[in-house]
Amino acid sequence: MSAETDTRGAAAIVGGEDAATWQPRITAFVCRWCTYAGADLAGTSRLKYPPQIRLIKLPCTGRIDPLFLLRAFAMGSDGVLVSGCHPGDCHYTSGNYAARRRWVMFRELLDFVGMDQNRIHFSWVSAAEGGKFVDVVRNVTDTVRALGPFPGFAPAEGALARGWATTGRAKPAGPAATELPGRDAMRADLVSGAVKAVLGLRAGRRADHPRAMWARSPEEVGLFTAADAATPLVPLLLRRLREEPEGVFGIVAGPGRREAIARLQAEQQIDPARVRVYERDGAPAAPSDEPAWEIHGVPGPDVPAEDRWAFWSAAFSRCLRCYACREGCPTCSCVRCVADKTRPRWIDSSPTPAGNWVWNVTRAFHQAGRCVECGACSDACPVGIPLAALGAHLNRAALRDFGPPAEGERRSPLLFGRQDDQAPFIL
Amino acid sequence: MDQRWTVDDLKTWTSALLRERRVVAPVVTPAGPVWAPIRDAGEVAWDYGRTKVSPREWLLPRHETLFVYDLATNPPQIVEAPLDAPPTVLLLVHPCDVAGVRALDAVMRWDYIDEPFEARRAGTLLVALGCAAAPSPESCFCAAAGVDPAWSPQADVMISPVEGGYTVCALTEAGEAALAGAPQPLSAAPADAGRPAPGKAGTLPLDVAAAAAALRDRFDDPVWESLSDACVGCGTCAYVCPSCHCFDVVDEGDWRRGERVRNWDACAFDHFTAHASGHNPRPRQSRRYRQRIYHKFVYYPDKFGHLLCTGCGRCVDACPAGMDLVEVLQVFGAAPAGQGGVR
Repeated sequence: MSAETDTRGAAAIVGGEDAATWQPRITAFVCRWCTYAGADLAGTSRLKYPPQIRLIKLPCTGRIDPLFLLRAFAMGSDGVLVSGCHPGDCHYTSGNYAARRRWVMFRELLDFVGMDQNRIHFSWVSAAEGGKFVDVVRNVTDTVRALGPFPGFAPAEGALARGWATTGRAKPAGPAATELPGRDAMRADLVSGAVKAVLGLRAGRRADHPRAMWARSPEEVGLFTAADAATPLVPLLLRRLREEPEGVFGIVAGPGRREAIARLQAEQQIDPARVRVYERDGAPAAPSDEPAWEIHGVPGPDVPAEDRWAFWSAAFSRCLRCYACREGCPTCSCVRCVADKTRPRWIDSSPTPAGNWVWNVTRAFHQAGRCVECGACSDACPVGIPLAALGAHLNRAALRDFGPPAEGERRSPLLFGRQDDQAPFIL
Repeated sequence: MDQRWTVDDLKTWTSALLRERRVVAPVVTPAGPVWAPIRDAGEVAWDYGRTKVSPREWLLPRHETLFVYDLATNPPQIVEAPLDAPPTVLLLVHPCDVAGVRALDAVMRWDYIDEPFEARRAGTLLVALGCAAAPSPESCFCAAAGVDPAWSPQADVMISPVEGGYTVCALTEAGEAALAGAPQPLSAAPADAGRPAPGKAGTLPLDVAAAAAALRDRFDDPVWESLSDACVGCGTCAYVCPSCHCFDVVDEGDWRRGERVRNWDACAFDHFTAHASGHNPRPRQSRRYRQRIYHKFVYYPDKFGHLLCTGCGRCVDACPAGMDLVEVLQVFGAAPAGQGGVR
């Protein structure tokens, strides 16, 4: 979708503001092969449907980024519809399978942060189903009209200043190490030139604040501490590999960091030949079975959606948009983040309630099923938004809905789909 | 004998201020103390330690609309955004953060007057709260950075914690006016007011002057490699800082209509210096970190005569990678040039 279609679509969304004559604004993102053709059939068949819906045509539901949906709300939509080819009918074979998984996870995320699910609808409408298209549009329009205008992303008055209550527990630390294994190997590799530098932690000036350090000489290896901390080493490694296109770099990594590195290798962000891992003990990477809301002390499903919405909109509204969550995150690996792109600008760069909401939800969604649950995002956030809860929850949801990954599979579960994936909410 | 105020006296006075002005004060939230407008004097956290984010956003907001444009009309319309600058009291600002306001003042009133800033600044009454002890003893070093932890010459009203209560001083006419009808008498400034000495009130004893002097000759010192190569580029240091003031001016909207806004920015970001051509004069993260130090301790002092660092220590505590400004100052304040092997 180019910037022009984006603005045309938004400019076309018009409706009366008067309460008595209020009509919802509904943006529909549809694939060109099935639903758009179905809408065309409805038109040529002279079928009538509510005019509050505006269609934006894309090649495939697989190309409909959930960010489009958030952007529609940020630009004034009251409801959103996404529609494409039935499973098995995708013009590009499997785009709608990947789309379906994304919808499942996206709904899960929106529900977790308390967004009203009746504002977002999904359907399969084929080119032959002009009648079904009419039914879907009527159904969606009536549902959204009954909800009234979308209230926007700003938190309720007073919520911002009063903050939000979290009762998160500290992440369980790994076994306390007294000696760091592998020092001799590091020294030998640095002497032989097998690695240019080794990344690890050294004791800081303050007892509880180890600091990241690149050891470039055997002597400096002695400065590494055996203590472990949640310091974002993997992002530092990734940055170094990109800043210096030549050479091999080492990293001291426990199980959590090794998992992050393996994931980045599977996603082709790290060349395995350029990284040497010196293994150590540490906190395990594997997610626990405990619900994310209990670990991180955020509202769970037993809390009404309005209260979850109040909690997260207040938390997101404090966001300064420093992007420390992104820079500290081992799996936030894009060379150029969507938040930094300006042609078009997908996410407002301003720390407004809408811009903050779209940014934080988008970032969390991009980690869906990929999060290594290191907690770096929450740790890095200067205003204390409990971001780690989002990734942890989506990990558990992905496991529940898509099953455990195949042995050694580290692709994002949202990059593909299966015929038997379940999504009963799709109209 | 100085006149002691109790917390109740401060509350009474705050309630009087609230009748005529917006009062922004530290309030306690589950995420720690934050600066927020209060509705009632009972909300103020009188002994709040230190906020994670400085109060500068009440003078230089993290987000501000400059004007709204509509190019779809004929002729195109540009409407200046109304200034949101109600008369405000910034209540209980520690001396480091008052010094941060001085740094903002110097920049925003330098080659031209920044109107939105000036409007807010002119309508703001600065009520300072001295620190009897460092709120964060492992990172506070204001006294070494030339800020008296117990005294704020730039404030309008100075509240000093003393044995058994507080003493209150008016430092400006605006402060005197605000204190008219105060519940207790005012005090005079103590004899040692405004005399910072490293280590005062339990702050870290650093030789910041020596470090700043050493920095001048050591831009290319190899020690920078090890001091700066752990920066993750998150910008948190700049966002929590009381004196950082860089902003980005962007258009939010499209070619038809939208608004021109300014948002905080940070030199730690790779696109901070990125040119449209693709060239980036600070291509590596370690260079961006060094820039931050030089701006604070060399470039800005050359221009304005005082440091751009107030020693509040927030960046030290906030850095996710454990980068420690205090260590940098220790390295440059101690080791002679060319022997910077200290890590």
